[in-house]
Amino acid sequence: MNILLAEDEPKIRQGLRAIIEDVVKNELRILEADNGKTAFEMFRTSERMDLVITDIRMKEMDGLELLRRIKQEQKDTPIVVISGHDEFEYAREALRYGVMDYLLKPIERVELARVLARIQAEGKGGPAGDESPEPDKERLVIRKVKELIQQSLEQEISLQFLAERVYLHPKYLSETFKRETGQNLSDYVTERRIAKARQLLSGTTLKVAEVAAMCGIPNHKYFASLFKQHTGATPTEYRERG
Amino acid sequence: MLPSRLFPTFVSLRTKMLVLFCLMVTVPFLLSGAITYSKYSARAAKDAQAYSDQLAEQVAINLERYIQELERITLSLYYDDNALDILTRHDGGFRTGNYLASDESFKMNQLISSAIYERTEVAGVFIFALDGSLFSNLQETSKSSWLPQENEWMREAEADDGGLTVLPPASSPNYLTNVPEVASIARLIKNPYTNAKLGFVKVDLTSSGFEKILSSVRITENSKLYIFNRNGEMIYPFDSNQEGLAAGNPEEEALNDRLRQDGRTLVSERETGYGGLRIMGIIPRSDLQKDARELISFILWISLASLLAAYLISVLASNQLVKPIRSLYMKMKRVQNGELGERAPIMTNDEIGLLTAGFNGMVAQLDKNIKEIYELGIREKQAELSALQSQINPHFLYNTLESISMAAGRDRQDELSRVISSLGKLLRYTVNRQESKVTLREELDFVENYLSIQSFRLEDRLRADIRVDFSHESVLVPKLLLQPLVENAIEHGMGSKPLTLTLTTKADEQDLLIRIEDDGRGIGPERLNQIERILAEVEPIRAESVSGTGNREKGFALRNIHRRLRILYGESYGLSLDKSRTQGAAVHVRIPFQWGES
Repeated sequence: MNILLAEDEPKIRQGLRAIIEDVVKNELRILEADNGKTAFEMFRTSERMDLVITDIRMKEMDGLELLRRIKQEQKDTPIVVISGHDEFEYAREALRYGVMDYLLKPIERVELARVLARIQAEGKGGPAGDESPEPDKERLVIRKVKELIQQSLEQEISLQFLAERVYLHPKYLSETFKRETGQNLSDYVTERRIAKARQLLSGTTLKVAEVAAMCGIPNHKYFASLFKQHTGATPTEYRERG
Repeated sequence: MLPSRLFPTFVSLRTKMLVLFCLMVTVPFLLSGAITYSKYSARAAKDAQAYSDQLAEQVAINLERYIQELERITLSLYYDDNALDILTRHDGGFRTGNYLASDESFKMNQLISSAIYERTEVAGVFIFALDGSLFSNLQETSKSSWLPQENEWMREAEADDGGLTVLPPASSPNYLTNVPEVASIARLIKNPYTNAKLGFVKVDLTSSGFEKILSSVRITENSKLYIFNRNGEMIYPFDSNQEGLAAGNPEEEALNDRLRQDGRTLVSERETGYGGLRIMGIIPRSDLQKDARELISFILWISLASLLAAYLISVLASNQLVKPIRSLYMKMKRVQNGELGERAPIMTNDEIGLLTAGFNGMVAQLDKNIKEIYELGIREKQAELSALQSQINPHFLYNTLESISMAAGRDRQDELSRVISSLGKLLRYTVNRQESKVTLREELDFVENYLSIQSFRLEDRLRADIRVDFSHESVLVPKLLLQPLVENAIEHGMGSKPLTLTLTTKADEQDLLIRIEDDGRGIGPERLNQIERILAEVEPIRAESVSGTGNREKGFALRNIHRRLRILYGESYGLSLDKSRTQGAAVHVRIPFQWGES
């Protein structure tokens, strides 16, 4: 995997390299540049890059300019921006050039690791295999979580609640679920709840408020709003339509 | 409005002015009226008295002349020898049925007629001879003889011994027909030489003679003149009964008595120098007071009219005076209620105008001062913030943190790296104040970052348990709502034992309840009450609390959140403390269930 790293501060550059080395175990080649100009030179002269990670503020040539040029040169190169700036202007411009992700300093190891994993997966055209030493066990956990959610739709479901029952750290559970299913845990829970609501609305004559309560969303107005977001119809409309 | 101790009842300025105005008008008017009345009527009485005295004098003179003229009729006999002869011839003893010789009668008649020529008021003149013969100028209508019992007056005339006797009005018996009511003058006729008694002469007078004299004399409408003779018998007017006086002598005394008794009349009396007649003029006081009464009623009407005018003027004037005061009072009330932008318009250029201007100046100064203090506070904060922002620019800050994090990461200090990352996020979240409401998820992320840093510091002594239903994560909450509460819980709950924080949410009808509890030291009942009191305070957050001591700020942190929630959502929302707990503490946040429509 070829990665171009453009960052003017050597400490950060070294740190990033360390993280990348932690995540990507094989066939890794990292090119480092301390400004945009050097980075662009490297990009043009060396072989095809699988990922470009760049800071925004750098001497000679800044990150945005670098982005623009790389996109001109080779449109489909994945780029990740790491910046201390979260000003809207920067982010918008970066997004216009089609960056893959926009990470804010100080970055969390996990965030960067996730991005790397995604690129690796896309590059191989399937889920990364070498990263999960016990894939079966992982899938088992996900299945357990999904079962738990299905059983608990009526009550409150919090990340903590699920994490306790599968003996995992909440954050880790959340990450794992996202990685395994490509979906946020909270989105999954809401989806299941709405699915149950559809069932109840078409299959029973329970009142909307009762359906809402049975789907773990006691505030029926909020429930109606969520329901409409997911199905395009209010619960009443949905029921009338059959 | 006013302290009731000093002013028992509220009397408006208008009422006071009204009363004052009315008093100012009525009192002088009535006083001057009363004085004028008494002075005027006294003066009028005095004038009338003088006038009537003068008139009585005049009447007396006229009357005297009149009597003298009449007397000349009686005296004419003395200068007529024929008459004296005839009377001498008839001075024999008295008998009845005398025959009057026609020449004698003719002569007498001629004599009398010439004497009373053109005196129409004279009803008749009779000459009484001693033998009972009666001569007269009236040939057909008079008797030719007289009887002593019918002519009582002769004794009186005899007593006068040739002097003039004035007789009160009576029906004369000496007429044959048409007996008239006449007053008379009579006298004894004596022989000018021998002084022997020859007979009597009597001139009968109708009232027209007196009337002629008195008619020209009239003092007031109801004034009256009376004429009495020497004996006090009434000569004029003839009909004494008309005056309500009992006929008989002496009428003058009776009248005098009556007049003195009722005291309602002015009396003037005069005696003629000749004939012994007395003239009495009577003026009823009511006549005199008539003018004064008219004057007084005139004054009363004027004072009534001016009273009315004064009332109107005072109403207008008090309006003019009271209106600006009222409007000023209203403005003061509004300022009292905190509307410091209020100014009162200056309507008059007088003391009230000055007062209003003073009020405006005072409020303006007050407003300015408050704004200055308030703005100063804000400006200071802004200055602080911009100083902070300019000195530590984000790029520098975050890059520094990133360097440290990376250095830590390189040395396998993963925990340190994580904490630095959390700190960066914490800073970012705090500084970015663009939106006032965020999703509960964002807020919880912030709290988790905060907790991550705190657990790094406190190690095993802090545990956190966040149980929030996935559906609650998209509820909108005020930004920076939870972290101060968590901080507060750690600050106050942390003792020697490890502390477990639990954050849970619950939907309650249309509200969302967030509960932050700990199993720490708990809050003593005293402190609990104190916090409750702080929460219940209605006063707005003052500038001083911002710069207060650290210890104070802890209590105020709760109050500030509480007030913020109430301002955002209403009185039924905010913070409350769970008082039922015996161990640890629990804070409840109640906010309405709101979510962003996407």
